[in-house]
Amino acid sequence: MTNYATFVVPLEPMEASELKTLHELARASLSIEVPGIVPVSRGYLPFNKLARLHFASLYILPPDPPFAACMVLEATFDGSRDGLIEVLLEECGKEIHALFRRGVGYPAPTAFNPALVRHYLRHHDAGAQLFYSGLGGRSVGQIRSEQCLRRKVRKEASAARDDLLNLPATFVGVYRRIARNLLVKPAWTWAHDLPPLPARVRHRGLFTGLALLLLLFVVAGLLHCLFGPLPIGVEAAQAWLWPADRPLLGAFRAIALLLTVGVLFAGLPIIQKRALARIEPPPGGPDGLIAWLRHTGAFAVRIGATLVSLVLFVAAAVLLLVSYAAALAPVGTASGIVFPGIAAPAGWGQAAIALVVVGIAIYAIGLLADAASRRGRLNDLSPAEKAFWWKMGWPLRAAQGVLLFALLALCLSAAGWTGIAGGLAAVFAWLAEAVLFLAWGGVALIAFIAVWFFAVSLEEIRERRDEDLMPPVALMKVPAPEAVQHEDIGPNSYQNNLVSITRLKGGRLRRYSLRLILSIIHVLAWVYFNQGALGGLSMILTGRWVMLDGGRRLLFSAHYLRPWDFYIDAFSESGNSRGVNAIWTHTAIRNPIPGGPSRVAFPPGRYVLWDGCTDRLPFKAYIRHSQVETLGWYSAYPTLSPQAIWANTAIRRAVFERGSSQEIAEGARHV
Amino acid sequence: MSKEVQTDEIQSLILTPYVFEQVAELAYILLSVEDAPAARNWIAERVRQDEVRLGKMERDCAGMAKPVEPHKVNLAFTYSGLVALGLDDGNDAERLEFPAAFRMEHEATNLTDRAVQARAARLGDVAHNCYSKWDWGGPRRIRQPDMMLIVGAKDTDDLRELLETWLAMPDGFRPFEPSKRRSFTGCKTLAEVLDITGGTRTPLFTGRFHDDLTEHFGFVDGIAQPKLACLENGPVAPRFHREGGQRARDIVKDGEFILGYPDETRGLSPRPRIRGVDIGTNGSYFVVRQLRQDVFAFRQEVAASAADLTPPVAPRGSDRTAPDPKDWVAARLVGRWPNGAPLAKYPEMPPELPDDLETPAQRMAWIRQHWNGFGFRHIDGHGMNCPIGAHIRRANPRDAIAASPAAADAVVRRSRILRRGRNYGPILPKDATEDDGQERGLFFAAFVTDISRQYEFIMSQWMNDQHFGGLVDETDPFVGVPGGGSSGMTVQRTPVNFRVDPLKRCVFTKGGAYFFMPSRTALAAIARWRAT
Repeated sequence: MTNYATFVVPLEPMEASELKTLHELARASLSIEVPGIVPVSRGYLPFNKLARLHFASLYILPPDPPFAACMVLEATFDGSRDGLIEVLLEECGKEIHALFRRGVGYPAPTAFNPALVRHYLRHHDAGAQLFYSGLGGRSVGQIRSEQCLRRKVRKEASAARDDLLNLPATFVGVYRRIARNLLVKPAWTWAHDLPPLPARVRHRGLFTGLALLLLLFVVAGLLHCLFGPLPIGVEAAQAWLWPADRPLLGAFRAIALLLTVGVLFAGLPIIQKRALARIEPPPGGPDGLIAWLRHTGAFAVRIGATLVSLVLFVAAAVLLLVSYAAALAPVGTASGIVFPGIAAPAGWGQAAIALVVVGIAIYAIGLLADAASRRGRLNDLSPAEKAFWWKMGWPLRAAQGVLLFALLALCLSAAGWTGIAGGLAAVFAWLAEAVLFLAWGGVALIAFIAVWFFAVSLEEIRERRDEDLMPPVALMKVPAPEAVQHEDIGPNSYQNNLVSITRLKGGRLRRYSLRLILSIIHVLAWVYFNQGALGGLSMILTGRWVMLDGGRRLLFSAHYLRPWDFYIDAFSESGNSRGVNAIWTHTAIRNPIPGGPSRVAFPPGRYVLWDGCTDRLPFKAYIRHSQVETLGWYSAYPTLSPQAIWANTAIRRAVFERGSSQEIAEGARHV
Repeated sequence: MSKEVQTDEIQSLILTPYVFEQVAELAYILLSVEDAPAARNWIAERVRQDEVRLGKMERDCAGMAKPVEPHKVNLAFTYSGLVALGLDDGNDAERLEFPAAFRMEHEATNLTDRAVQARAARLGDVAHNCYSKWDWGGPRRIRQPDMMLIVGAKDTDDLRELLETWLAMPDGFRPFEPSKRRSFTGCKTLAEVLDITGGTRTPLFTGRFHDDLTEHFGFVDGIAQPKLACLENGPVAPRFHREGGQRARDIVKDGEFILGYPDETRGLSPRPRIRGVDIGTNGSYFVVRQLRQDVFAFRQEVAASAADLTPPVAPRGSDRTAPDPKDWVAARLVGRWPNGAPLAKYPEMPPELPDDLETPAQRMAWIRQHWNGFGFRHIDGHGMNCPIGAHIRRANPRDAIAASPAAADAVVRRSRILRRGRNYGPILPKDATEDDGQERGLFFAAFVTDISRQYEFIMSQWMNDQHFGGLVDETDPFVGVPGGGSSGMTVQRTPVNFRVDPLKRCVFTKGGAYFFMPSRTALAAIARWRAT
């Protein structure tokens, strides 16, 4: 598993000349040449001997009163942190000692003592509040080996092509032959036996869902503690919704319930869409419908689909309301009003038929919704038409969700007053408890986000009046330090390292907000953005956000694909802009222009998350001026991008593992 | 509601590519400032006499362009040119505010500068395209022309007459000479310059569209051209019209090509200023590259690759003969068949154009309507029809780059360019058995509002990206420059990919510069500027 460490060591006060000497020492430490797949270290730190090290970089944060200058060594590696420190001190202990011995509280600065340095480094590992890796949990060995394998497979494929007489007719045939040829050689047997990628990468949907559920449970549990248990059963529900003595509380609860239903309506289609996307459609199902939608008169289809979805939606909504009314009415009076077959079943058979009918209806609507959304993905449509078909799928899915919900409510109501079976009622009651419990969580989350937005927006308005804080427009005319400006120009034309340090604007709200946001994105990066792209941004190999000095400064460091300009553009133009705003809107930097306000704020945005970094030039100027020169960096595979790493694995899997035809085709395109 | 575009302020080359018979011949003339006040006067006079071609081309009710008045020009300036006109003495950063990408060519001190080298690596201006092999332009102040004058004419004779009599030699300017040979010092008129250069080298290029709409390698060119939203009448996306989809995709917000209007993100690209005064609105940046094409070498390369190929066969049931293997290979490199049919839709054999299309304009309109409405993601996600590294797929990946079609659409819309280039030099006959040694190629020219975000992005992130679409060690077969690995191109095929071996390069960048084409008002402001 990919691990990370950020050793941040504050340096003792020193003269500018001494600091410069330390800079030179650090600058000579790491430099690589890229003759082939394995890089050669040219600096005095032989990091290429550290077989488990992916990336490392070394830099010095300049003194920024009241914060002292800091020497930082960050590393991304496989295995444990202690293992890394062990190997690091073994291979280049004295050099590390020379770099860090001016650190505050460094033990025995005159003589190198591995045990003390180990303890010191361990103590100074700041970790990261948010760590992202585009490597999908692969080890250094796997990445390098798969790159070699790709070249080999390419050669073998070329040989197979030249042997026209024996050329198999399909990909599978060619790959089986290549696998046979390679597996007889001991050098390539590993390709067959490689462990799969971590489960969280392979099943990211499941893990994301679980994480979300966990979050909801935590929030709901919190509320449970605060407000007491939720009502179960008709009378309890009635008393809960309309408490005789406290009508205001009742009103509040009714609003909360409505919100819950709203969230479910909005959420169910999303969950359903995600779930459906993973299931192969039955033959003749959605595809047949697509064909039908493609060739039938478009106007009729449009009107028809709209009407059908509207009718379904209204019907389901009415059903829901009535069943709710039934559930809340005094026992017995609703008999025969709604679906008598289910509400007061003449027998299990009748109830089962009714359930099957409703089930088929739900499935059919799902198919229709799926067909409409797929129609929206066809290429011959304009974006507006695509959007139309996407939207078409939405009410259908919502109708399906409502129907499901209504069915559940109906069963609950039936179970509540006919007492079909005590056990079944108990199960439904438990289900209802769970659903409401989760719904509470959803409502609370929305309320929390709304309050947070409001508080941060107030803070932003207050800051705009602050005369000591200016927007970054004026920075655009001030050139950034030369070393930083040109640091993405080097012998390696693929990767580079970027380090930025900013201060938080101040106040606990900012600090806690940033901690929370970084933690949320950290979890997302772990369970969802683990397939080579962080929200559509595939230029980052690894990135880390570290809060230093008790949360008063934010250190950002990324190992990215050059050039800097397009990397920053991708940050501000892709769907990431809101994430970027959510993080950096809490920060400011020192104003390099003498005589003006002392600080420069992040480009101002709307409602905290909008605009801000999309103002490209001020955003770029802000990043440039927050940057710190990377004095040295190392990469175990400096010519690869996340896409290439994923493509290499696709090739290996296509050749050596029996994957689906889709996986084989995916691998084949890269050979 | 977006701001209405002031077409009467905008130089017309931005709004129309002049694909009319009246301007079959377009001269791109590069000039240097000799006497700044006189030069400014000359520009002021052109504005005063209404001799700057402005606005959109009017069409009559049959859709044909109205006759073009010949005595009009388009003007564009490099940063060096604006400095030479006295708008900036080069010391005060406050005076001329242009984006760094535009200033760079003027400000670079030498070719070994780190920033220059980085730019070269990014844009593929290395190896056989390196700046030292360029005839003109590039990041060297001494080789930068100051102004480009664009004149349209019916044919070469008409052009010569215009350059002889009406335009002669603009006051305050002299023909741009990148070398010290002073070949044009004695020229009294631009017509003499035309005679010397033959319209195929600096400082005067004559560009034209070939009758069959092809560029020199024999492929129909300029199909996927974005359309300015301000010139499209009626609803932007006619729903349920089969080809309407592509039409809507091609319509791009004005701000992507004309400064001062909202772009695709509803923001404004930064506009240049002189001492705080906006001179950018209604103007545009004009990226120019002279690309020499070695047609004979290209044909040889393609023939060599085709020799390794199992001859393609016609699809079952077709009564037509199979395509020529050479065409087959060349089509994989380009991504379209020579007649413009896209491989993504017609991978094995090109359909034929209808017989009733008479004029080139009709043919282009038909091709754009029928052969431009495609994407790659769903019909050709793995490149089995159109190779992932093919030229048109790299230059415009359509819906096949980002995580979703909508995200891809957003990225691609931000990276479109409005091409206004033309072919220069004579056509090499199809049956030529040896190279005739003539200069020929494409005078590439494109309008953008952000050079770095549009032109340089395409060149760096798509054309010269060795990891494009998960590929490794290959760049664009025409304008890409191989990096550390081998060159060549992978053609995705069943059951095993076909590899076009390292290509001998057939396209050479011989020059290029970034120009700024101001609006009428900005031209007048530049002309009456008095440096203090």
